[in-house]
Amino acid sequence: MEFLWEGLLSITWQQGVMYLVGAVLIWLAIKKDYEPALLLPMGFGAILVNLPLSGVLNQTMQGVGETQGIIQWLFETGIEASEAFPLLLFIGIGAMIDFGPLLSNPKMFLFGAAAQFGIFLTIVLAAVLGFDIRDAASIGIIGAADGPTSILVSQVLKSNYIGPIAVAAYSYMALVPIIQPMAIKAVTTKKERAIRMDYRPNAVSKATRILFPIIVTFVAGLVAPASVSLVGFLMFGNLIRECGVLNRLSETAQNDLANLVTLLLGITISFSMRAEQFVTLQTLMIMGLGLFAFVFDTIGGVLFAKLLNLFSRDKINPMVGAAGISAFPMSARVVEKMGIAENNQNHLLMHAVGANVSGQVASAVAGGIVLGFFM
Amino acid sequence: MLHQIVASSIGVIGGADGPTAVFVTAKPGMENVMEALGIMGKGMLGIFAVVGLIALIVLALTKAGNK
Repeated sequence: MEFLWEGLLSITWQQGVMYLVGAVLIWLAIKKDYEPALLLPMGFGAILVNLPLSGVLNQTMQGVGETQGIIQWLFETGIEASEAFPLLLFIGIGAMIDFGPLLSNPKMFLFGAAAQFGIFLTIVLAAVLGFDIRDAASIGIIGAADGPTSILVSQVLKSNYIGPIAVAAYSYMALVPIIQPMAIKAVTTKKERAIRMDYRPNAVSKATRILFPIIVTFVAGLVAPASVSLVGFLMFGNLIRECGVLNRLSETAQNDLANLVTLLLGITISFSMRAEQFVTLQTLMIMGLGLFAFVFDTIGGVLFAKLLNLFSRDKINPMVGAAGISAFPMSARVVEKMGIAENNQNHLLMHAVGANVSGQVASAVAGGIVLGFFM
Repeated sequence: MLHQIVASSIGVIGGADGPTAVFVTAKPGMENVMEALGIMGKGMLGIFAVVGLIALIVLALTKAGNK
C-alpha cells in the first residue's frame, strides 16, 4: 500500500512552492485576465512538471530504461533545438501588425529604439548584482516586453533562468497598464502630458507596405546578423499580410498558427519551471530586475521625447515615447487614456500606435544585437 | 555566482592586505560590469543606427510614392 502515499511523501517544499506559483498564475490568468493564453498553460505546466517522478519529464523506469516525457520532449524539440516555437509565433505576430501608422509617421521609429533602453540598463544592473554576463543579458531582454524574444535570447545564451525570465516577461507585459502610468508620471509634468499632437499622416502606398518588411529584414540582417531569425520571421508574417495575394495564409498565421503555437509554448516553457531551477533567490532578483527593465524602457522613451522637444518646433507629447515599448497594443491604449485624462481633445492613439509597432521591430532588433555580442 | 563571489571575496580578508582584498573583491564583478556597460553603449547605438536607417528608407519610399 506504500505506493499510495509514496508520491505524497516525495514532495519537497520547493515543489510545494511551485504548486502555489502555478495556482497564482492560473488565478491571474482567469480572474484578472492577465495574458491568459500564456499564464494559464505556464501555471498548469508548473504543477505538472513538479509532481514527483512526473511522467511529463524523462524518467528512468526499472526494467524499462529511460522513458521520454512529453513536456521535456516539446522543450528539447520546440525550444532547445532551434527556438522553433517562439519563431513560429513571430510569423503570427507579424501577420497581425498593421505598420501603417508607423509608415505614415516615420519619426515614431525613434521612440521604438529609445524605449529599449531598459534592456541595456538592466543588463548592467544584473551584472552589478553578480549575474554572469550571459544570464545578465538574458534577464535584460525581459525589457524587450516580448515573450518570444525573451525566450529565444535566453535559450540561445543557455541561460539558467529561462523559466523566471519567461514568467517575468509575460507577467509584466500584462501589468503594463499599471506599471507605465506610474513611470510616466514620475518623469513628466502635467503640462507636458497635456501637449496636444495633431495627426497628419502621410499617405502610404501598397508598394511601401510590401517593401517595408523586406527592407527591414535586409537592413537588420546586415547590421545584426543574429537578429535575422527574429526580425526575419516577424517580417515574413507581415509580408504575408501585406502582399494581398495570400489572404488565407495570413488568416491562418494570425489565428490558427498563433493560437496553436501559443498553446504549446506556454506548457512547454513550464519545463524550465522545475522547482530546483525556479525556487531560488535569483528568481526573486529576476522578478525585480524585470520590473526595473519595464520601468526604464518607459522612462527611456519619455526622456528621449523630451530631448527631441528641445530641438523640435512641433512639440511631441512625451508620453508617446513610452509607447515605444513592445507591449502592443496595451501601451498605445495606456498613452491614449492618459492623454485624454489630461486634455479631452488630445487623441494620441495613432501616434502611440506608430511608436508601439516600432517597438515591435526595435525589440526584435535589440534581441539580435544582444545575441550578436556573444557570437 | 553571487554567493561564490561574496564567499571568495570574504576569504581574501585573511591575506591581511587591504589593496589585495579590494582588488580581488572588485575584479570579477568589475569585469562583468564593464562588459555590460560596453554592451549598453554599443547596443543602444546599434539599435538607433538600424532603426534610424530603416526610418530614412521609409521616408524616402513615402516621398517617392507621393511624387
